[in-house]
Amino acid sequence: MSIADIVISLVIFIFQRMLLPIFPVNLPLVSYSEFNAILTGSLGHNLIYAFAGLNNLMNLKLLFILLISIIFAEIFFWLFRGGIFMIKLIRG
Amino acid sequence: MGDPRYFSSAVKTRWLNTFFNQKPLYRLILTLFVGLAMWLVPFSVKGATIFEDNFNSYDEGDLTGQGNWLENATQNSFQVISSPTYEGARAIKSTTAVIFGNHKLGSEEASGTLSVALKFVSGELGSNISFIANNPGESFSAGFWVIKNADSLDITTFELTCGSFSLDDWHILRFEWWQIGNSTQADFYVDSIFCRTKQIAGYADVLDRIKFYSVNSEFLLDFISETGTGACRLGSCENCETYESCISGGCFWEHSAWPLIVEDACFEPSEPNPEYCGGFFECQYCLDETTCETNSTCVWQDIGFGNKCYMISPVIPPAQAGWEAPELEDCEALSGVEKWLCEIKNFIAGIFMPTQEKVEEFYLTIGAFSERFPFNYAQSLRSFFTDIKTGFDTEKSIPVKILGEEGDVDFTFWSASTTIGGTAENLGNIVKDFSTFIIILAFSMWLIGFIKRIL
Repeated sequence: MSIADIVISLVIFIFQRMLLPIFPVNLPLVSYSEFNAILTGSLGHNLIYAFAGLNNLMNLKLLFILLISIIFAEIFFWLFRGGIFMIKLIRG
Repeated sequence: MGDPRYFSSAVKTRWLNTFFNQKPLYRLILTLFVGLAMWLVPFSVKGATIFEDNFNSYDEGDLTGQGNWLENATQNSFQVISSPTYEGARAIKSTTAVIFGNHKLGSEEASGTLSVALKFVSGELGSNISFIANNPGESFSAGFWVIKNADSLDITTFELTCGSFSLDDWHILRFEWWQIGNSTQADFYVDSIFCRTKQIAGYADVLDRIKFYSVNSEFLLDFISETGTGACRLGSCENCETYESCISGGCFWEHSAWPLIVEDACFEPSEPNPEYCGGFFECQYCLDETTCETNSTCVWQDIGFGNKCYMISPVIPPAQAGWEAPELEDCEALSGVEKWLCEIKNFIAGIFMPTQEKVEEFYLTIGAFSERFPFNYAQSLRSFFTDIKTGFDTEKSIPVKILGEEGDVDFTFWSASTTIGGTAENLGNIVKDFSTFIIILAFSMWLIGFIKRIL
């Protein structure tokens, strides 16, 4: 066994025993298969079917990019505010 | 505890100086502990069970002689069958000829829970089946008596009825028993709904055997268990541990590309995305016979859930690593000092060079993260946005229906052009540019408000 093998074994051990167990495969409320099926199945098709015709009137890609940006920004903002609140609550 | 502002100064001072008010962390821990304890108390189960049996390991034919099952005196043996089942590969069945009955001894339990899955197949009005647990002397029993009515199944605890149920479905019959003084008390449930409680006065003994007998009827029994839950079938696919049990239960088997790290698992069936058709363990995504059998590992067949695409043989191929370990220089073509130097260089390099097996293992370890949250969910989101972007790139019409007449909005006038600032522009581009300006203006207003909130 070479030195590289020993180092790689150590890294693999850390990844497998310490890091990987922390990351779950599925979220408690919605499993990955359900999430993927909804997004890539019905939700995507319904969105395209409902809004694609509006592409004649406006730049839909720009609109959705900005909407998604707003949603993510608000989510992260409120997650950050909630985290600060919990820290203050615990610290007293 | 109330708002201290409305208390007297003495109470307010006492409240403000309490340990838990000064140390909110302890308050949080105590709250979590009490909350958790409140959740766990209702789930305490009375005792254990006499035994569990899903019949899946038995051969088709007589139940007698398999798994320590015995035949009741002067009664025929239930038959082990492969279909239909409540879960797994086997169930047991009686036929309409006279009386069928078996019994089996298990552990002695003064208190416990026992359940069975039951389904009616055929029989005349009044044909029935009993499923009971007895004490060692068989002086008393607790269980169910099920009678076929004109268009329903009457499920009773012998003297007392639990109601009428459908003839076509599997039903989970469960009872819990425990001793109170010199009596045995039992609660009865049908399909997880409480039916009634019953006291067997004067008898306080353990129950140690299960007996059932069917009179002039065809009934199916399966999944004798403690609680009736945990079966590998539609609605509880997470209980399926193997590919075969998952597929035979009508569920979806999700194969992990990193089998050393992330295990394969069984999920409730979801709408298949035909784009994945053809991948290993992904026959379930092929929606028709042609695309299914184009893949040599898949076959189009009906195993009880309609014609679907299944794997012929779920043999996992060897893992394919995307990285290759560097190779040492070939010294065979050299000679003399050059060969010595080459071999010395190879020796030193070999000390620091990883083997291909280790590289493959590291590759699989890194790749396993893609199967975990948030990477798998992020990948799914990325695919979703890509599909949306591709979908919006395609020109589509707007359907309308006026006075019963269906049609599409006609945008041919969009190509009418005019000259603005010396440049010819068509109406469609002008409208789109204007709407883009409105969108960007609205976004800018939100962005200003958002920055103000942050600052």
